Amino acid sequence: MAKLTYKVDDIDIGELMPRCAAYKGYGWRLCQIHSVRTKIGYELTYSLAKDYELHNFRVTVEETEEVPSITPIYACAWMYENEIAELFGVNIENIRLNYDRKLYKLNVQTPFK
Amino acid sequence: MSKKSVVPFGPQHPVLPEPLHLDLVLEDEKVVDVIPEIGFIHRGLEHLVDKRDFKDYVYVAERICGICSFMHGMGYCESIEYGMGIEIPNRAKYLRTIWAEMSRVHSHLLWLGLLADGFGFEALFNECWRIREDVLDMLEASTGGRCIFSVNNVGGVIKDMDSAMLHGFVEKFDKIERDLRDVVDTFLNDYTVKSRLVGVGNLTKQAALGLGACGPMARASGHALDMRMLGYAAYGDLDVKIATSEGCDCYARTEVRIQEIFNAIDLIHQAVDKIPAGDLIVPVKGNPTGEFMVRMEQPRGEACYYTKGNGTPYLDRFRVRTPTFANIPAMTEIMKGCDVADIPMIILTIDPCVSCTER
Repeated sequence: MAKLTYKVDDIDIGELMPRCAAYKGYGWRLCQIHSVRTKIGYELTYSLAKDYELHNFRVTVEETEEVPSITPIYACAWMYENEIAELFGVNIENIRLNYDRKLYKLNVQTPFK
Repeated sequence: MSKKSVVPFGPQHPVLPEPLHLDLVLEDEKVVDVIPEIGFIHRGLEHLVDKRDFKDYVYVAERICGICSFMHGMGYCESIEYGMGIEIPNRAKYLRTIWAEMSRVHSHLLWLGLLADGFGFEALFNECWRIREDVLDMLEASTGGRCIFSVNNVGGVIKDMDSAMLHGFVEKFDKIERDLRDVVDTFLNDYTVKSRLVGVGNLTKQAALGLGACGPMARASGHALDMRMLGYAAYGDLDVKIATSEGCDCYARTEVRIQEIFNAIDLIHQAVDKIPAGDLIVPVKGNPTGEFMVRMEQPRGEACYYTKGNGTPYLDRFRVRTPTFANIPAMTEIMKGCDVADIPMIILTIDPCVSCTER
């Protein structure tokens, strides 16, 4: 088995923007963002990559807590953030291209619970 | 300044095999802004992990898309296998690699055909799909399916290819390679084809990085980045060549994908030469507990497969970040400033897979 590893650093929500800005400054690209529902709210995992290196960091938020959008730093994050807002109901503030929880044309009610 | 007008593009359009809508803001014939709209075929497949046993879910994962189906199944299985520390047999790794590369060849040939169709070269379209048919026949002979193979299981694979079949495939791929040389010549050297692709849809090296582009889209902008170099499946034992271009335009993306077909055929040759004998699958005991994410190189680029278990047969979360999902922001950005007539070429050269994107 190839030596693949997956490690996640837990960070406070206040650290999210400075950390993204620092990584961007060093030439890291946004690889992905995903959300997982927890008992009290959500975990948002941000993965940034440079060449073949991958760093993941995670913020844990309560259901109604607001999360700042990272689109001012990584403009391409709008796809991920709109999806998470719509399907999970995470309150993400100031997404640059905001679909207002209508990224997907769904006939069922979102967020999925 | 001219008056701005908004022209809807899609979701039904001759160049779109799958539904994608764009609101194009135009000034005369120039595109000044683009607002994409997706979500016409969202099926909630990730959500099904809490209703399907993790071993059975591989068959759902494969149905995320009909073109990259094999790699979705493989990505899901590898994420679970790495998370649970399961070492799959070496023969299974090689078989996965061979099927993955065969999928890449048929996906790129499908795309080349669609591109030819997009710029109105019907004979070229027919020729690409005729060649692709041979690859689909081989996939059918080895797996029983032409699009959905259902050969991946957590712990390995459930079908084998004997030596005669493998060497027969190598001979067929040699013939495909010869057929392809003529087609490729037209794509890369024909004046009319070049007039539609050269200098269109420029994505600079810096912009590709900032916009999170991946796969052939990023490699055509000078980034030598290919997730097969991470060494999953049997790629660690093979000499993986990365096709890149510095052209940054639609022509460069075509060039990269064409080179990738030849590289994929070379990898099939290498894998057939090195494939070891042995078991196909190992028994899987217990249920997944931790979390893991693997990155793989699909035909359209880097895909991320994340799984999180909770000790039961039902996962807490399965997430796929597909390459088209990552390439849409770059696609909309490079459309700004182009002529409206170039929009179909730009869309086609990201090789969009909307089924994957929406899951």
